[in-house]
Amino acid sequence: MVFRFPVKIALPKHAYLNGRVIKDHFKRTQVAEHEVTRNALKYIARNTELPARARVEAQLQLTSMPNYTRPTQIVDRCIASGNARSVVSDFKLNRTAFRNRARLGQIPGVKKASW
Amino acid sequence: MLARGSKSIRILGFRWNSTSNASAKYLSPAELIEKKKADALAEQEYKQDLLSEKFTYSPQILSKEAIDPVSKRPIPLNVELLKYKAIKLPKTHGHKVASITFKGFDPKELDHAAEFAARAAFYLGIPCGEPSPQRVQEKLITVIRSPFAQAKSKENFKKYTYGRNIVAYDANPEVVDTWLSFINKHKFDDIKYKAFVYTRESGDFVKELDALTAGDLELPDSYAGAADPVSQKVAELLKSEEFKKFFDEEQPEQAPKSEKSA
Repeated sequence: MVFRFPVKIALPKHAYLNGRVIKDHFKRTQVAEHEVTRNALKYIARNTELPARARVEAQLQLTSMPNYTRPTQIVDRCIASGNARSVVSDFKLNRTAFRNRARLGQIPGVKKASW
Repeated sequence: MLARGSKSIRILGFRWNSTSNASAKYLSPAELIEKKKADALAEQEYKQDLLSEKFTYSPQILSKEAIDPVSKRPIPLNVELLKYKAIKLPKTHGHKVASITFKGFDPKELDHAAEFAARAAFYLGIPCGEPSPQRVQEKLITVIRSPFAQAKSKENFKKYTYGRNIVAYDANPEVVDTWLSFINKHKFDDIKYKAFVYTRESGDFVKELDALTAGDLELPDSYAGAADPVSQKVAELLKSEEFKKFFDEEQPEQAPKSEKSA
């Protein structure tokens, strides 16, 4: 079987795995790898003291980089269910996974609120 | 209440009678001097009695066994002291030198960590204050109980973050470093530590700064190899063939321009 992603990656450990989770994980590794290059190209493209053609070249290189190197492509996903909706960012958990655990007292520092 | 009050007054009166003349409510200067002399003599006698008498050292301690049943050795004093509140050293000047804040979800564990720091400070000879509790940070998290049609029914949770703070005074920066690194070595996994270190400079510190040259400024060793990777990459990119040509183009363009203006 052909490997689905253009670059080989290690699968995430200690997290729920499905296709979408692996896809997001792949993007995360690639964004981390290309972060320095992207920021350097952005710096060149936005530096008005550099020659205009060099800046255009940097902008072209930026746009020609694959989509999966963009930080905006990363989505927060629940590590227990893989869901991307209503993720409580403090705990990386979806609302359902969070509620179940919080009710059982499995999340440190979290209690049922009453006022 | 009344009866008790009258009784105590009577007792007070009795004592007065026994110690001094009943008639003299106030002592005359000569009498006062005599009384003071007598008191001093009595005090001296008492002290001499204390010194002449041989007494055995028997401190009151909390641990029941004097000899540890496991190691079969006497329990060391510093181990015994763990059962007591951390000893505080008196401040010499009261200059704040460092402060550590502990943040975590378990107040008991926080107390443990803060007390550990206080004890370490005592053994290093750092005067430090008692661990003081900080305001509890509350964060409200509201989730829906059920999706879509019943989404109006919500459940509220709160995340409580507790804090402790400890302040150290009047210690050398080296001692403070030792203290902080010792605490860092034995840190708790679930606690977030944050240390502030304060230094004092002389009045003409600004002049000293002005007199400094670039050669005098040296970053600490911990900054070694911490050059900005982005700036390194920018330099590398600009030296590459793809970008070099744009710089080569620009120079001949600039040259005729300058000729024209001249």
